[in-house]
Amino acid sequence: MKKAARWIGVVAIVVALMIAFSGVAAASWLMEYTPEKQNPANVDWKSSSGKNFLDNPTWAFGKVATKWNESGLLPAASSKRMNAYSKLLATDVQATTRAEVGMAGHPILNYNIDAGGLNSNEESMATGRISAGMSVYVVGDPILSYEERSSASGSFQFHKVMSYTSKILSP
Amino acid sequence: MRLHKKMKETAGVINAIVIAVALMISSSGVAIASYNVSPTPGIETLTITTEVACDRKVKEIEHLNWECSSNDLPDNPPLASGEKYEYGKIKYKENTFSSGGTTNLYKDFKVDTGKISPNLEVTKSIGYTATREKGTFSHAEGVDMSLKSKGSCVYIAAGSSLSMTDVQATTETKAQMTRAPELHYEIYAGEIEGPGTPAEGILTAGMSASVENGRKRLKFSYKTTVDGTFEFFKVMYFKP
Repeated sequence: MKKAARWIGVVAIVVALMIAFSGVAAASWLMEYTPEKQNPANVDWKSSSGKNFLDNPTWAFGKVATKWNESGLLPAASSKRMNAYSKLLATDVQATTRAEVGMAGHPILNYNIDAGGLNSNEESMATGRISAGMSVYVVGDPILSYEERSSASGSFQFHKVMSYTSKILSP
Repeated sequence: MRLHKKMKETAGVINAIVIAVALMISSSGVAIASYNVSPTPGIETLTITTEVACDRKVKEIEHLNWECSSNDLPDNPPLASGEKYEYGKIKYKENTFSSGGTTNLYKDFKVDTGKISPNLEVTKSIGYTATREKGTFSHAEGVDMSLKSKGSCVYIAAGSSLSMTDVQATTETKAQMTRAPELHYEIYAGEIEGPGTPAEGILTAGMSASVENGRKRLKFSYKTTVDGTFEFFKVMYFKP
């Protein structure tokens, strides 16, 4: 607590999302990047990436619908490096994810997940399996480690909002 | 507050067990401020909201470990003569497992290492209805807090363990170690559709605390275990 400058030694943020519907096995929630083939004809995919990750990394992606064969999310951040990838395997799903990550200034991570199902309306489609997780690891003063996982199995609604911020108070 | 309201609504139900424990300890001659930990310049905040409505199988795992100190935690140099020393740690664990039946889970998890009160606040509500013969729901939740300074040491832990069928359970956890330390834990477990459709069995909830200050030492432990067909409400609070 003596100096604000040493408040943080290492910051690592990991968010993992895996949605697997219709009997497709889910991988472990913190997974290595394995690029898979996508079928653009069956995917409604919107993705946007902000500036350089090291400069002002903000990115978001969302809306996946029907027979979508890859995505997920795993950004990892340290004081010098950030990596991100995604992986998703799904059929008959109405799912939306939103993510915002920033490491310049105050580190921030916002991540939202929505999935459908269990309703009689037209947008209710989900039948399968969903898994989402978050891990935060801060070394310095304070030391903070946090892990969060969720999993579900079938015919569900799923809504999750994860938010992490870090800032230094002026002396 | 919500649990108190729920308790009023269900008062008078047969087989209800309502237990409230409130404990406050003030070690004589020791200022309350001596137990607390000063907030660090770096403030971390976490807000996690989870809502799951699911036909079968739900799994939820959560851990938290937060440590802060007046000294450099990674380097941990020896104390200089007369140097002030404060150390605090909050640990939180949570497991949820359900299977076969219908699950409605809502959880709100908040951490703010610089907040006045509380630093950790968790609200969890889960309803489970077994749709098959062997309905399963399990829950284990625990929070503990350690506070150390020169000449004093405080340890507080609280938690619960559930294993039920057809249940509506709610828990609230609050832990504070900066400024005025305190720990609050409460749990309600009861029938999911009103009287006549009770929760089934096994619930354990308790709190333990240890306060050492110079030559004085206080130890406290309280645990309630019940077996089946009940409504259960318990509040535990400790302020060193």
